[in-house]
Amino acid sequence: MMKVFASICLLVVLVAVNQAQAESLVSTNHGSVMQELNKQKNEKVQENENLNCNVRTNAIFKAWPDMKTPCVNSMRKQIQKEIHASVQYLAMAAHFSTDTVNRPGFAEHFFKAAKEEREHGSKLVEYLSMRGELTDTVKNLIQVPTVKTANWSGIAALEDAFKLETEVTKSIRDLIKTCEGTGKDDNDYHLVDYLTGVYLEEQLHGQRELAGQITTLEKMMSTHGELGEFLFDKNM
Amino acid sequence: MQDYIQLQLKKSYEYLLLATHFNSYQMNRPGFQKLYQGLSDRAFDDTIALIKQVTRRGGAVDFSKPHDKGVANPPEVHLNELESLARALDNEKELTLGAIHVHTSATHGTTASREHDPEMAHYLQENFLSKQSASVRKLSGYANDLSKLVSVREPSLSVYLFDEFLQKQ
Repeated sequence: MMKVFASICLLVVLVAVNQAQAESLVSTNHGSVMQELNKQKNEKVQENENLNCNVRTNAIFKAWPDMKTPCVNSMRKQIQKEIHASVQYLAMAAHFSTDTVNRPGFAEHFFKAAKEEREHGSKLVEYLSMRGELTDTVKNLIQVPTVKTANWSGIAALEDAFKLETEVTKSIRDLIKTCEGTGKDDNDYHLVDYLTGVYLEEQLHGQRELAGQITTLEKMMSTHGELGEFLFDKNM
Repeated sequence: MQDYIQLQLKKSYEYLLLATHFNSYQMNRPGFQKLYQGLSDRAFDDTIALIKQVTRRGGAVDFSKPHDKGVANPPEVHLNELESLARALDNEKELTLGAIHVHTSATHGTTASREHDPEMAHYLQENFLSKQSASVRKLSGYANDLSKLVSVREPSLSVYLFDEFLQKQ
């Protein structure tokens, strides 16, 4: 709520700035546009210390947003986990793209996985916005992580991916438990249904697909060694 | 290039948070959300394109080290409409400078460690430099338009209409 006050106040101040100075914001070639904007704002605030804002928040929103804090916090953690998985897959894709490894099938597979994980993260973010969250707590929601890198072989990468997906599945299950709550009216039915029906669904199918790929690749490698990985890559 | 790839990835998530900020029920600006979501997706796709370019040239990309600039302090995203455009314009300028920096070292390298690399220079010209200048120009136009529009006593309607315009872009 405070954020609304702050932004409307700021807007009013900016109006004053623009009325008084009517100068182009972007004419500065040096320094940041943001700094220029703040400078203009501060100058104006000093001149008009009695600028006051009267913005009321709507009383109808007293019992809304209605998501429970532990659930929201777990959602935030889940979002960061999805982003972490995305960057992890980017690192794998980059590894398989190098000329000395040269596995374009694996590389494309992991680029695709990285995009999907990012998509999962941003869909959860959108969900929170839909429920009325993330009004003044967007900052710090996502930090670009650093990830483990290794000299992955095809099979090692698939195994690491499988491990990662298993962790994500477990963390979604825990998230569901948290959002079912403990109290009488704590169950967040809609979110729980969404996580179960969409996220777990995708996780379980994903795990099955990876498990199948691991088995096939293992068989191909045990009889044909490097040729197995080479052929597997071309058919991915 | 390593640095530029990590910069793109970071900006992708900064734009995602900016889009999220305008998607809240209190801000409720779908046009601004669309604008920043688009920039976020573009930065992510560019990250992948750059990884492909580096590895195509026999290089490698390392995601195990943090990007050297600004990991500690994530930037403020709770901005008003005009401020957000100013921030986006700064971001785009930073991304342009990053591309120019790589281009410069690719064209003017004379030492053994920085070799003259016309292929890389060409790639950046073809895929980044003109795109970035178009993007900077577009956002600069938006920022100037909006700063004129809010120079009235009660700017809510102006911002609303500007947001509606952004939705149609």
